[in-house]
Amino acid sequence: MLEVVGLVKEYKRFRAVDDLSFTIGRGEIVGLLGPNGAGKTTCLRCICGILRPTFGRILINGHDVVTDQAAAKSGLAFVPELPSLYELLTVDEHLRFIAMCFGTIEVYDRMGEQLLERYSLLDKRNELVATLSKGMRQKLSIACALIHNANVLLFDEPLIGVDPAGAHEVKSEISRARDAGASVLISTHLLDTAERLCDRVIILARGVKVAEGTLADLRAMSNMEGAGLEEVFLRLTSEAKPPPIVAP
Amino acid sequence: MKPLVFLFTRSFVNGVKRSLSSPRRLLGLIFFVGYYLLLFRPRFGSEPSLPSNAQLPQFEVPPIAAIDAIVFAGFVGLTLLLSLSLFSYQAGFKPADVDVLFPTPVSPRVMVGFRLLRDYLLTLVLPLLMLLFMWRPIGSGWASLFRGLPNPDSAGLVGRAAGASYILMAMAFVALGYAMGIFFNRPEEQFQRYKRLCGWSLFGVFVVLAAFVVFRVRSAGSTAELVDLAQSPLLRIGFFIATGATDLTMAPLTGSWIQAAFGGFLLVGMVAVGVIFSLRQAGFIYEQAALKASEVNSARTLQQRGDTYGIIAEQARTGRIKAGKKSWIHRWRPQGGLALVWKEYLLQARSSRAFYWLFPGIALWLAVLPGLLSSPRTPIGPILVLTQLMMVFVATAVLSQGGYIEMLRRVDLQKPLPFRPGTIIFYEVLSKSALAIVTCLVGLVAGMIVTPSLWPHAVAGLIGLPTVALLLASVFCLVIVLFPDVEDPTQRGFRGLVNLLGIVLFCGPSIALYSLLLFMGLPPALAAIPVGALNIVIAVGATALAGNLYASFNPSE
Repeated sequence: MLEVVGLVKEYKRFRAVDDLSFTIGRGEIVGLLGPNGAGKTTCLRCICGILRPTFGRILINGHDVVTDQAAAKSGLAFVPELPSLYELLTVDEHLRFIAMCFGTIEVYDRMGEQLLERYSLLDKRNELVATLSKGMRQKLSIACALIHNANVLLFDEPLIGVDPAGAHEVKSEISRARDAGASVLISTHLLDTAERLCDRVIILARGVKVAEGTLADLRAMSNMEGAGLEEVFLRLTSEAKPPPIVAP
Repeated sequence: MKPLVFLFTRSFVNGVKRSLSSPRRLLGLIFFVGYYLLLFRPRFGSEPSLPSNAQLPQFEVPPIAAIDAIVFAGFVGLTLLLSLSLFSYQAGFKPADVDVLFPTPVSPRVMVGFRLLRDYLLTLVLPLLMLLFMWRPIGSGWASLFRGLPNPDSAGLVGRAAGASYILMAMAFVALGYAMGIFFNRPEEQFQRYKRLCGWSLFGVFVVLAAFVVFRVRSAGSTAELVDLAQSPLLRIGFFIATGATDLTMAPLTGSWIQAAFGGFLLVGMVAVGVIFSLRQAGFIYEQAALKASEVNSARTLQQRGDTYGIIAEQARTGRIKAGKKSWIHRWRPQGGLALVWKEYLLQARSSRAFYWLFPGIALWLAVLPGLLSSPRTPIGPILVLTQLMMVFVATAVLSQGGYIEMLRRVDLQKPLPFRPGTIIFYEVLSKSALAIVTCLVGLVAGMIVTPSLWPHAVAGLIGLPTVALLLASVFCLVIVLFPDVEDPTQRGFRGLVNLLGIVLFCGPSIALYSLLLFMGLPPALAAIPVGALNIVIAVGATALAGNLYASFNPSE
């Protein structure tokens, strides 16, 4: 379970995320939508401990990401938009390394082959990551995220650069994780994907949450009955206020 | 051809203007010119004078034979220099050429013709630049060679003939370089085989000729034998282009015009063959240049950043580096934070494997040599510790440079791992100091075995130097996390300076304490114990500080 309470992230005098709160329960997929520069990636990076929140709390399975990092992160998986992988490790070594960090090397020994096969990485297992294509790296990044059975999954634009078969596999994986009881947060520009995949969406604009709910809730909120997510999204984000400037 | 000439001349003129546009660039230009001045004019400022007859070398051989040998040796040297770029003509292309120039209707043949001409002119400039600075010191020596001849003024004539020979020789090498470069870089698999075969054959010829020269020079008892070596048929055939150029050059002196004509025809023939083959294969040039341009460009950027891991990854992408066989590291299965060390050893094994042989080897040599050569009064104990300290510094610095950049670049992957930022930094520091620790252990143990009387200093080193490695690794880590922007050249330059300052600040207390304890009369091994402890305390402090900075490090900023 993921709980974000009053999250604020400031870069010097610029507030990238302003007072963001939401909760994702077990077995739920939530989409984080917003135009470029809305603060989606900053929000995800705060949740997974890459960035320190300026204010607010982030709880993963009840553990605070700032004060109880190791426990909080042990249930978390993050798939960044541009997979940041060790290029001089082989595919197998990379997965093995992640499994060792999470103390699940025995699980990898048992299930590794199956995981590699599922992501079409089996024939590449002894090749260096540097030689993989962008799509294969994305698959490896997802495989790394799923290796320790995390129950909070964060995806930053997971379908960018993945071929149709890969995209289908990623969507199936996300659905499987939801069915297994995981809390999933997906940051995406692809509104049709969000509409079909997510149980709920949060719309950010200029660092502020402008709307949250199911598509029906958003339609009602924007007085656009029968409209698609795209129209609702454009209406809500265009009405957002300019970004707040932090006092020096 | 006109747009290419325009592009070249504008790029050249703008490049010169740019180098004068700011004090920093101007300083670079002055340093560059100054370097050559100092390198080639050791007696800078003094007027050269013709040496008197008493100072002249006294040859036991006819002067013409000596001049012929010197000219031939000079052309052999130029042959070796020009051969270095034989297969890599495409390195001169930029990504902008690929994106802007290649899609235009400029024909590949025109492109090859223009590049041949441009590279030829550039090749001519290099020795001219060298001659400009070397002229005075070597000019007098050159003229003195001709004093014993009936007509000493022939020095100028031979010099001009040498210039003409070089003009032909340079063109031959540029043309052959293009012809061979395009041929061997064609996309089909077999051309890679031909390239390897030709490369190894040329290398083999070079090794045979070099071995022959070394053998003859070592066994030569007189200057006459050395001069005679230049007439050896093996060398004359092996360096046939240099032979042609020498024959052409020596004609005004020897009067062997038939031989000179053969030399001239040989050079002109090589030029013709090179140009014809280059133009016939021009169709391949765009594809080859496009591949090379992106490769060279990314390698250059990575080199500027000091990103050694990135450079190796680039090589892996092009298939030049393979994963290799599984080793003992794969049988080690650590859990938790030690997995970071496991990962680092794998990365080092692929990016810096040679250092694990090279540095302990140098440390061993440095440890053993003073003991074998020195007199009993030489303070070889302190020398042993100081040389091993130097090796610790070099080994830590080398691994830290690329390793910490890799750590910052993988922040999206490392920070979500189930560790505190301080824990990640601790294991990173530990793994960066491993090579230095191994290196100094090898050196110190070897030093102790060769010279057992050194044991007090060697034991002091065994206690103290591993902690110095940890301390240095933590200081380098702190500095890179303090200035983490690997793209920013200002930060890169500043980081180098701050590294020095950091070493002085963080290592200063330990050096002071060690000196004080030795001054108080404590044996080195005993003095090393508190110093080692102090090193560890300071290293832990620096690591904690780096951990805090790493926690707030934002890759997007």
